[in-house]
Amino acid sequence: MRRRRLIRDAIGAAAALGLAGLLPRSLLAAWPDKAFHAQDLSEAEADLFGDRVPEDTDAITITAPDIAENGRVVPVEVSIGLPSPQTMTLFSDGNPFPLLARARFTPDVEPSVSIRVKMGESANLIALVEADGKLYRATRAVKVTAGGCGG
Amino acid sequence: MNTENGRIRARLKDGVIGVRVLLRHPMETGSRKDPATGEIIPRHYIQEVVCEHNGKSVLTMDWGWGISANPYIGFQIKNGAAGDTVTVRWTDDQGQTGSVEATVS
Repeated sequence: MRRRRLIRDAIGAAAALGLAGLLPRSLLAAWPDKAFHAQDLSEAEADLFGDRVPEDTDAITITAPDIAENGRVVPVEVSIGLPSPQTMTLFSDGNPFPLLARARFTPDVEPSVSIRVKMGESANLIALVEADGKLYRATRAVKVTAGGCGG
Repeated sequence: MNTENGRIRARLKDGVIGVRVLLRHPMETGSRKDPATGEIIPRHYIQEVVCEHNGKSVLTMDWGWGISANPYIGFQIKNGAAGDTVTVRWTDDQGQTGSVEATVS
């Protein structure tokens, strides 16, 4: 933990000195602490994207079950049919902490990722994708019959 | 590959490597109670995941505790070849790390 903090401080100092451009992108992208702790979807979105307004699109496909019998394990695949997507951020608007995950793509991978998430109740999965300097959104409703966040 | 850190499979099809990973991690939310003692189980989860192709980072993820226990990841790497190496590394909120690696077949 201490070592990671030192690394982050060092990166912060380097960025402050204007050396940011020389460091690999993956090192600079710090884990977004505030957004993951946000208990409100709009708060998490604002922390990550400021006042940018997403454009709804059907070029992002969220594949998930219509009805999830176990909210502790909901399989989700997000496939992006937009030119050179950079990030994909996944939320569940029914979770106590809506931000689930954020992926950063490079041109070396297909713009698609599968994961399994917890959903506390029936809710919408929301994927926000940064591509081509714009912010796009897709939404997928999932009905949960047994929740995944409590005991 | 099957290790204490999880499982990984990397299969080549038409030049694309299909990667399927199952990591071993509790991904505790911090709101779950131990059924035996009634005590809250502290939050403990993977924060950062780095997927590498022949040592080069190709996909990275930030996770919260909303990812399921023993996390699954599926993704596809372009321009693959048999014998390539695919590695998935993780770091959790306690600074613990783990990795799984496969040779593409």
